[in-house]
Amino acid sequence: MRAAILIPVLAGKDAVGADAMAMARILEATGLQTRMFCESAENVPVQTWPTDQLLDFAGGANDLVIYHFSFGYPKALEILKCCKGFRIVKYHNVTPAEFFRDYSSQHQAACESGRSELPAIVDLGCELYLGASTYNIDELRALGVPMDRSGVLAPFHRVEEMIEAEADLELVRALSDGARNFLMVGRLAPNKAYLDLIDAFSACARMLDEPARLILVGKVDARLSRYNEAVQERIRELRLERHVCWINGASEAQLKAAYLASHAFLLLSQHEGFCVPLIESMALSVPVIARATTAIPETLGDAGILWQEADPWLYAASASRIFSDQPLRADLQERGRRRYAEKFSTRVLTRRFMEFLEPAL
Amino acid sequence: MSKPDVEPPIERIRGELRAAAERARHQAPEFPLHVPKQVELQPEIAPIVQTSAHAGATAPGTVANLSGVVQLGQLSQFHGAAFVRNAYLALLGREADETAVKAQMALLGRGISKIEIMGNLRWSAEGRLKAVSVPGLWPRYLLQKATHVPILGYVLQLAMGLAGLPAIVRHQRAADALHVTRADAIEHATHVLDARLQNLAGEGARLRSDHDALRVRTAAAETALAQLSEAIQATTGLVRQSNQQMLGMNHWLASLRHSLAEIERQAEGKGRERAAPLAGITDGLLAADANRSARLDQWLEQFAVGLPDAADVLDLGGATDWLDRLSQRSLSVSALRSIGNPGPATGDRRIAVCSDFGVALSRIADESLHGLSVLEASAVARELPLMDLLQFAFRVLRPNAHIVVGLDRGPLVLADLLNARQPLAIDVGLLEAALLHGGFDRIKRSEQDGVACVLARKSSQHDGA
Repeated sequence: MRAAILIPVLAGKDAVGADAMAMARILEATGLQTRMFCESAENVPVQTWPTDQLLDFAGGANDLVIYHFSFGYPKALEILKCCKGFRIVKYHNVTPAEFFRDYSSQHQAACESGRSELPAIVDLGCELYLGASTYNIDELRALGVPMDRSGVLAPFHRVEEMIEAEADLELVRALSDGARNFLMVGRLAPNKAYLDLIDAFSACARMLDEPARLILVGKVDARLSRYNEAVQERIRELRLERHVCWINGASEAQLKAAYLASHAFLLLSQHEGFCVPLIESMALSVPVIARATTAIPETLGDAGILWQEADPWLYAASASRIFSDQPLRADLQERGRRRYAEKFSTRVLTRRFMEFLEPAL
Repeated sequence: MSKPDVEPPIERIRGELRAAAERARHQAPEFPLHVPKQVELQPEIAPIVQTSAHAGATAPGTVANLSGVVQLGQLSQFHGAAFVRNAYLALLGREADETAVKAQMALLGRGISKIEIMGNLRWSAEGRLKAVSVPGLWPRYLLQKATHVPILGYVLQLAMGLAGLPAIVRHQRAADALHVTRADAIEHATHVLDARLQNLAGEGARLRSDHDALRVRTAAAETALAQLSEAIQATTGLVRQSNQQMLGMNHWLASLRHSLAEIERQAEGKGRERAAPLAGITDGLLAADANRSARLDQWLEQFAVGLPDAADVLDLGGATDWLDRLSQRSLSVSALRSIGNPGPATGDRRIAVCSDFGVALSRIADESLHGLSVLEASAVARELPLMDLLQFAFRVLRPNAHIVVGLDRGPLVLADLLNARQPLAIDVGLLEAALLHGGFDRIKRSEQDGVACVLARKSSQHDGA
């Protein structure tokens, strides 16, 4: 028996890439000969193979193929149709195209293409469909995936590696200057609702009787320049130029430093299929204040403060309370650490993954 | 750290947060009053793209541009690998991998200008897709490329060199002056660095010493932890053992309870067998007591007054005519009769027969009854001493509950007499005193046709001592 991981673009720092690579490691560890097949790879410390060779390697009746679906890739449908073994689709969700309508026709088209593939993915009748969250798998179930052939498996991540890694101590020192640091981690994209985030942070900075800083850790996409400009304009309007510290393409050491120096994680995203930064915050004891949209409530559980509304003042009042109410803060941190350990630690995810694989192995 | 409550704390304070949000909405200043310090990031880790607050600034880590336009000066301020990495980020929107950095560094080492490298990136296939605007780059790039044309390129370079000779000489002088200044600065910095290194060496020695001390403490902590772990294992074993024993005990108790129930069932059956012939005789004698009905009615009036509907009332003795009267008052009635007080068989489902009043009564919950009646105390007292009866009554009755203790000649007394057992003689005065002492008040004696009974209420003030 052989195992193949199929992923169109494998990026080492990307959440989907981290999930795929971890699965490959686990399968290797169980003694299965495993290979990763992709169109392109970036920052990946392992060997990868061209997708054209997948069927030769793992197209047999006893083989296992896991496809990571996060955007349109028609070739995957053709490959999966020809696989005779146990096929698993891991669905990471595709951002709805309307988020990009006003900002990038290229992104809009890519998302529309990804969404349009969903029925075909379901029609393949794969042996198992896994969602990174209940929110994700429900989308597939609504299209006809049966309950007994679907389940939820949170993505594997690099949180434990980050906990072990050295932080950028210079950055920690620079950020630990007495200001209240709010953190957001995520690429600069409209579905992450950076405009709402800036509004909420503005309310926080106005309400607090001490300096406040918003640390933004996320890649800037030059193709979304109109959205970037809109965010910059909002920052200028609200006179927050000196409050925002943007770290574009942060290293692992910088990311850890940002978490260590932050007092609250602020998330107003409108669409998340899982949201790995939430579990990073839980593991590193950063209290979370978040908007209850899509998969966010399910990932965060009772380990943070959730609001249905985007009203900036609710987030400001929550932050102010967290900073002044030590027992509340300690309780949220404790709940976060416990939730991470019980639900999302690599040990727990590995056990769940192996349970899902049982019929195939 | 204390274990958190089951209910998330945020659910308890959500209302408070909403109120605080409303207050802040109206009271907060228009813009933030406090500004944090600026954070200067390292050039290698702070690419061209940062916040637009500092548009036009040239200092590394503070340059702003999210609009797809990059100034030449912004990039050319960097040198070596930092230049290459920032050029990739600014012109291709991604990080340069190590191979790319090495290749571009090799070009720089061969004397290729930064302009040419920027141009190569900007007009590569990937750069054309990104289409980042770099004002002034195109003509300079063309000029640099033209220098590679055979002969013409040489002439062009010669011409450029000659034309630029005065500027080159000026730059050379400036560079000489700069180098002297930098050499002085480097010398000074070297002295400073030496001093800091010496300090660091001292600091290092101190850290080593601290590290050694810490290692010793860690070893001690590990030993303590191992002992603690052993203790926990031992305790866990004991807990498991206790758990096993408790389970065994539970099993044994369950068996015992089954056995007792069986004994009681058999005893009840035998009691019924023995009592069956009595029923006819006692019924006849009671029917002959012409005043009994009026007597019971009067006691009932005094006993039931103030009891709520469906109040729980227990009778010890179980004369069916008394139980019928209680039931007609919509009271929830049950009765107990001891094997020692068999009385006539009635088949009445309200009456349970027990082997021992004391055991049966001990199973009744504290303060669970609204009323207790014992009309034939002289027969019941043979099985349950009067003081025990009153103590039991105090425990099971609710505050302000009613009790009636009578010295009636009912079915139990008649059965005792027919079986040649003498009922106990009870002094009514002593009974009243015992009730008063036992935590009851509003004690009232009632006598009908020479038959006495005492009614009382459980005091809500008494501590039961």
